[in-house]
Amino acid sequence: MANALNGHFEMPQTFAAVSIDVTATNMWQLEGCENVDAKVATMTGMAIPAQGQVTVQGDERLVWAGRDRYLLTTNRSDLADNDGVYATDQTYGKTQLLITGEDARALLSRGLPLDIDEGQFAIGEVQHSHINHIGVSVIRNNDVSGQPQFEVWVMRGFAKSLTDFLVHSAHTLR
Amino acid sequence: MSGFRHGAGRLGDAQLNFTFDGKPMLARTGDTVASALLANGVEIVGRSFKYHRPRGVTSSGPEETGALVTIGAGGKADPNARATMEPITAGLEVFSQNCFPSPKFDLMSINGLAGAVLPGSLFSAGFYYKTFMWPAALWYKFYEPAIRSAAGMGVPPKVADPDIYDRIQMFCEVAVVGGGSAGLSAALSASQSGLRVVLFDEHNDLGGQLLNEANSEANADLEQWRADTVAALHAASNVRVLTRAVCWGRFDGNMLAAHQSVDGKVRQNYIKVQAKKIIIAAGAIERPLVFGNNDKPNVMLASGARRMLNHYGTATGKMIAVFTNNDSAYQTAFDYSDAGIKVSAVVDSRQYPGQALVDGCKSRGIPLHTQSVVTEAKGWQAVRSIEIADLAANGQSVSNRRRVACDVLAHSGGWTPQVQMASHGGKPPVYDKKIAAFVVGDQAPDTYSVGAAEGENGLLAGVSQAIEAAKAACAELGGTAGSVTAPPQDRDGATNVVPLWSVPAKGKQLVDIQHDVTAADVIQSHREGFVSVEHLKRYTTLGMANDQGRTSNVNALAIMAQCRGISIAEAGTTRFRAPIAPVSMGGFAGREIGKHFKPVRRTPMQEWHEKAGAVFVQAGMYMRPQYYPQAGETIDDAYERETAHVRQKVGICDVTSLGKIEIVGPDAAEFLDRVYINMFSTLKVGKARYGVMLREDGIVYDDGTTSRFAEDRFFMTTTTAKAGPVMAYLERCLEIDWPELKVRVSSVSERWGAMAVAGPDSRATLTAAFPSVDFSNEAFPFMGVVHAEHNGAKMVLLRISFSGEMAYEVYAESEHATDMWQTIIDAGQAYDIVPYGLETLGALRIEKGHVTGAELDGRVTLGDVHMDGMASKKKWFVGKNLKDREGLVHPDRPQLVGLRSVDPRTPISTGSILVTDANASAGADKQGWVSSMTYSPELGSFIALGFLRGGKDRIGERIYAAYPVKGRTVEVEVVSNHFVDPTNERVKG
Repeated sequence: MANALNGHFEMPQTFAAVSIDVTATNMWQLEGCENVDAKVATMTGMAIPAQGQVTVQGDERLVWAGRDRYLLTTNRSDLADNDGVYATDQTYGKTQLLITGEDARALLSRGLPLDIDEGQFAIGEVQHSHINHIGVSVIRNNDVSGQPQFEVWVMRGFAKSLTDFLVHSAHTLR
Repeated sequence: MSGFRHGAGRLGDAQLNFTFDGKPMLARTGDTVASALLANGVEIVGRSFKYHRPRGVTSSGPEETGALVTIGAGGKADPNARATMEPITAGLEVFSQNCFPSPKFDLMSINGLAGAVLPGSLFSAGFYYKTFMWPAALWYKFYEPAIRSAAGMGVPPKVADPDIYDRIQMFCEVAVVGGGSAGLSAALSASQSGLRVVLFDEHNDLGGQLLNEANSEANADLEQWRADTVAALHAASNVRVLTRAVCWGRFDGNMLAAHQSVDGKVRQNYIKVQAKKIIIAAGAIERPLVFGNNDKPNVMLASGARRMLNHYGTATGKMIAVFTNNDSAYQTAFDYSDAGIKVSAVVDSRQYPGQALVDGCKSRGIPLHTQSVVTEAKGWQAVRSIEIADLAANGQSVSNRRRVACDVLAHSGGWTPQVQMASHGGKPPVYDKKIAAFVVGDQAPDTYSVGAAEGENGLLAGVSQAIEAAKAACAELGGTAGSVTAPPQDRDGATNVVPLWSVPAKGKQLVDIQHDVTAADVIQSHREGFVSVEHLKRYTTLGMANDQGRTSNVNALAIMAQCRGISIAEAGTTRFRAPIAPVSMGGFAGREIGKHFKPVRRTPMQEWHEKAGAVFVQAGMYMRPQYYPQAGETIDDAYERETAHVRQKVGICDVTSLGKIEIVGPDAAEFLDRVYINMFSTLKVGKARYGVMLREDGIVYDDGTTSRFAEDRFFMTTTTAKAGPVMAYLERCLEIDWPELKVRVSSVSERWGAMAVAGPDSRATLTAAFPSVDFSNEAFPFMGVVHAEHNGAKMVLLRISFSGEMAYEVYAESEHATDMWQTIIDAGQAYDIVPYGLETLGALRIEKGHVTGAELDGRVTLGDVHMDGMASKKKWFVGKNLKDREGLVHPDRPQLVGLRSVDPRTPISTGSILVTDANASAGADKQGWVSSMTYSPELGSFIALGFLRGGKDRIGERIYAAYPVKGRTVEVEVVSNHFVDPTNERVKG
């Protein structure tokens, strides 16, 4: 059975210049208690992102998610606990919403209490917050066709509520 | 009829239709409801709060006390709107308020007479408190209906508001509150630093008091300055100009809150602005003078009358008189006179207003009465004349009373700075004798109060103050504010006010015009001992109407200070609270209405349940299937069928809502030994164990099963209700209590869809569904754990049972969980598998005597639920120190028992009280309560779980479950809480 959550939501231009793409995520949580950064770097072969940052390498990203904790977006499914790094499969636990377009900031300002204005939230940064009472992580992605793109991760069970809320809000942006 | 169109002001030419109480009227674009009503000759707009006195337009701004109207009809109706703040739109419907049968003739105005004849009667100061004192029987019969029907303003809509409201979060470095000359200058100056600036103004047009100025040749350069400044702000990409946005509160962390009215698909935005610096340029509000009948329609604030003429092209009357104690009101007289409207008198309570003003009157032929006061406004409904008199030098008496004809009286008692935003910042305003009002004084952190808001009424002086503030604010943020062209003309701000707090006069002298609080009420409040300003406010309700004391505050506390023989500074002022202006609830609700009222959490199988026709019930944030009715089935039919079916064959239930937590690290086992009462370090890899947690005080907190996936990796499940709290509790333990433990915990609740497969045929069903897994007792015993894959999707299988039958829990990756569920359903067809809901889940566990949240209600000990044997004696655990306190181990504590209806078809109500006497009265000895009930198909009887004093030793006793709310008493037999399969044979299969 297809996942009814996923899909592409495009607003008519008269409503808003923004689209929302909803997909499941493949993700591992990497954490530990001692020398975590060095060990995670060894395990992933990636540079450790500083607080609030994302490291990108090929198709994979390493996302800062708190002290001694990182989220690795990856297609690998064979990671395992090793040398004090605990690899917990979180695949499908979060749903990803790509919010793209000229009105992306205006749309997110309808619920996200974060300063994401131009110059305040750089490409490759991540923040953990909430939208309309739903916990989210937000990443500023590379611009798409000159327009900003924000990647929002939400617990899968709330994905439909959040998507509905954003689509509803997007209908009155213009 | 007194008001009329006179010139263009700054309005557009386009004509708009609107209606007032159904009567069609014409307005121009840019009109407010107030200016349009005046232009149409409307004098009486509504009736007052308590006394139903006729009221008209009293101002041109947010301080409006008289013209409160209902805007729109049906669900869109907005009661108590200030007519001065509502723009006219095409087809707008406007309604008067508090009038029966009409604004001109109102039956309730007798209230005012009653007050006059019987001072201190029904509606005078403190009437809330006095009328509700004796005798109680009259509260509901008389006082409440009488007060309710007489008092109150407007009528809330009876149907839902169909409009959309948005909530918007903004961030900026510099927020400027107020778009007058000072605010505009501050914003423009700050904008040149490149920092982000947000400017709020509650009016449609920016300019503040500049809009009071005549739009004339002589002022053309000033008007151009205003237009250029506004245009420059609109052009700046780092400035957000928010008009029709009332900034109503300032909160911790420099957060400002505003409601903005917008034209379009959304009606209002509730905007929260997080600022680094706040410049308050909120201006000042003109104070009324307190004299007889000062609330009569066509008594207006002088600045309001002036703006009506100069900005809205609406003359308020054909013959105007001015009453003042300061210089500013003279300009109203001069502008009206210069516009060709007769000014019949300027009445000035001061001895000498200065030669310039004397000459100004003389050259225009305006009669000037100095050292004089207006004692009373006269006229049947609206002003038709005034009585004036000479004021004695000591201000205590008047003489030489005489009449002056006029149809509008414009008055001014000085100017009150708008200090509310600064007051919210925590600083009490201080009294400034020069302007006879309170100013901010000591600034709150990150706050700059400038211009008229700080008592500086001069145009150039205020602008230069504002630019200084912008420069200081930007400099602290590392920016450089720019210079701004000064206004080409100045307006001397010196008002030379000489306080005149009240006039010795007849008639009602209103202090708070909106709440019908009179000078006499203030004096009575003093007489009855309510002398502090905070008591005065509450006793008289002064300052509690929607102008929030803007016009009344200073006058009232000045009168109180006079009564007490102390200075105004000593009397002090009340603190201001948010919101400072009426704001719609719609804005606060935003989009959190209907399906967005609260987020819904969905399990991966939600759609399957919907298609299967499940009836849903709210469980935490989830909507869970309650039962799956077949054709014609009631809820009882359905769950009894589902329950029997699970006991006889096999059923499947969505249990995704259980909390799922992975616990990893070298000290994970030690950690679990500390949080659970029983031992987990001895658990073998590949096995699961039931565990119970206590709170530190020894009360049962939560239960669930935890499986060991590896030496240093565990998988915990919690109850649905405690999923979040347990996760937070575990994190707290690791962060604060035991930071030395090398353990990490993470929620994997959303990774897995969970399903319970229960019943004698569960093993056969799962074997058919997942042939690669060996479900034999040897390979997969009771409390066993198996990792598996099916069609490339990962699964965890636990052999555990909540129902008492042979059962498994299947955890499947959420993206594939519905496929797994369907695979099991398909494989289970051979065994007549049925899906079952929460009702059956509950029935099965009650039959088995398992406890859930209904039993573990935060008052229950291990002994109460017969689990004290589980507590390990070999180790310490949370709750161990306090669980054996005397009161917690007393043999008379209510203990878990089973209850069985003596008549098997009689249900036992949850919440019943357990008593030993069938005819127990309210004072009877209550020995316990019923926590859960169900019908047990297996026993053919209604059964229940409950807590009974000393219940452990009372098996076999017959007692009564009384439910006095419904007058129901059921005879029950006390039995073991293990109704079905007490020796646990079935789970082992």
